[in-house]
Amino acid sequence: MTQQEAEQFLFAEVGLLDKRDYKGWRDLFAAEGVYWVPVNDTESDPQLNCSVIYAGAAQLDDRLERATSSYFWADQPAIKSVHTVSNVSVVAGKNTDEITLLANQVVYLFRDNDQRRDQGLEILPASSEYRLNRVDQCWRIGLKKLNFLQADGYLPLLPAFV
Amino acid sequence: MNRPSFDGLSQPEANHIQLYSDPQIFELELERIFYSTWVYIAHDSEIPEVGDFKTTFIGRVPVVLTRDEDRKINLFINRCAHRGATVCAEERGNRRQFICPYHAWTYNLDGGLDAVGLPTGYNEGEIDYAVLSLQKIERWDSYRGFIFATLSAVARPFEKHIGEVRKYIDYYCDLSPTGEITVGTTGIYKQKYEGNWKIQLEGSVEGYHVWHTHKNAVDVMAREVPLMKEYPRLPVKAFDLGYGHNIIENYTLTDEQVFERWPAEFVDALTAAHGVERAMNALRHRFNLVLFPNFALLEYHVRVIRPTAVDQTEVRTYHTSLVGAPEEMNLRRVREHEFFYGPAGFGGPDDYVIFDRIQRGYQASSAEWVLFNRGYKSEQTDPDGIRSGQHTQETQQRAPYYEYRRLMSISGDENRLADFLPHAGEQQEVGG
Repeated sequence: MTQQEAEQFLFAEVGLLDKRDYKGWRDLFAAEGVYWVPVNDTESDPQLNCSVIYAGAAQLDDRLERATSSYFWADQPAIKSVHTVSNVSVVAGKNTDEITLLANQVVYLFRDNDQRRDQGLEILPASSEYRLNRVDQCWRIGLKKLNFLQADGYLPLLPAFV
Repeated sequence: MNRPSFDGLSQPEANHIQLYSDPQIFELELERIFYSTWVYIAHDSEIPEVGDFKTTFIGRVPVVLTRDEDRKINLFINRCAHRGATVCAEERGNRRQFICPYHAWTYNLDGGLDAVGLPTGYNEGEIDYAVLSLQKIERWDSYRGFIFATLSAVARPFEKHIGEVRKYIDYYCDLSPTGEITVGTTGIYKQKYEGNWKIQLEGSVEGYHVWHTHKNAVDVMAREVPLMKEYPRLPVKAFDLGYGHNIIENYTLTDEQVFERWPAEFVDALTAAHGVERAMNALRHRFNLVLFPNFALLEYHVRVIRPTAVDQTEVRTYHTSLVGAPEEMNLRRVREHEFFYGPAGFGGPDDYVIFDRIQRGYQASSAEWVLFNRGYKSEQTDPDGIRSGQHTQETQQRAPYYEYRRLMSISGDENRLADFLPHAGEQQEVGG
């Protein structure tokens, strides 16, 4: 995967989140794919410690249901997002069908059309790690790990996927 | 203190919105509640080793908790005796001394003053090392590792304060074969909302909202545990345990259901460790417990409520783990906790956005009352004075306010509700 291909992949991935095309985003994951947002220590073992999100296939589907549920009160009015991606580097994987991408991200969240009118803009800088697996000629996400700078501080209420 | 009368603003069946929106009442609450009664500080599993410390707050007062060389726990105010800077800036860590960054006043783990910067500048009699220690919080106590403290010399004895609550803490901890749990070492969610602290206190034992607010989470959970859908109709109760403490049962299993719910090996291990009665109690009871004013114990976590302003509250959710339990059981506690709680959970965020909306609603000074009258007429009182009701009723949410009115010296006798709730009755107050 070239630098440009890596960047295009990441831009497209976060673009789906910003368009709230959650179905399209969920479909980027490999069957065994894991979506992980750690809390507190971002290096802690997710099998021993709680995370903000630790989702395999079943939990991704549950989240997709939540994303469109009319009972997702924290998303009413909807939390809109803009992601920027930078500092992308491509790290070779174990074989030609696996690759790791490292990138920094800033996630901006804003809930507009709120009666409060004073909803703050939430700014969430993060480092991120992607492990991609080639499946049927396409790159699929084997792991997306998002390490918020504020992982051990206050985090705002988040959309179903971030 | 010259103040307007707050009498009648809190009554068994309703609170006036001023209790949630008036900054003057908030200041009084810090003084008369947070600085006057027992508040939860930490669990001793958070500072297991010599030199471990944790900082936290009692109301606005910064405090440090340490484990000293003798493995004793010390609790003091995080304020240098000289000019007042906090001597410890971190939330947690390990060290042997606390050195003030201003003039190098250096304190031992027991709070004693060990050294000061440039000591020769002090003349004879100007500095007394024995006196200038960090200010100790003398009154603290613990039950099964849960540490509580009070800044008051006259608060009721701790033993009395947690009297009725102890058995539930036993049920909770006895689910561990060693009887020990860890608190927060496997994850802490740190959140805040723009609303009064009492909204979370009430919300920690809220049986009425689950089926509606959390329909999304309940639908997902019900695929594995169909009983979830039956929650509003379960034959469980909620109790006023006195002194503001209260509990809502989530489920109470029969012996037969215990064996359906838990692997036989785990039931055996627990029985071998604790005996049949203690083991079965631990396996049978699931509940949300509130200790007034700042502590709640839920199935998988300890919740700590910290008021920061009349309309701003910090809530920390400390995940709990069972020492000595099978690995897969603790992993399940991790996955099920993170499913519901935290900033992207399926349940917690929906509560916080509602707490925020509640505070907006309380800006309407013409709509004065916050209602807690559900199930008031059918409430039972047993011979020991324990009130109870059905879990979706509001006995448990009325409970804190008997203690609240006593501590705040607000008389509930003056019935200002008559026009609004024509049938509002009077309820006997329980004293401290």
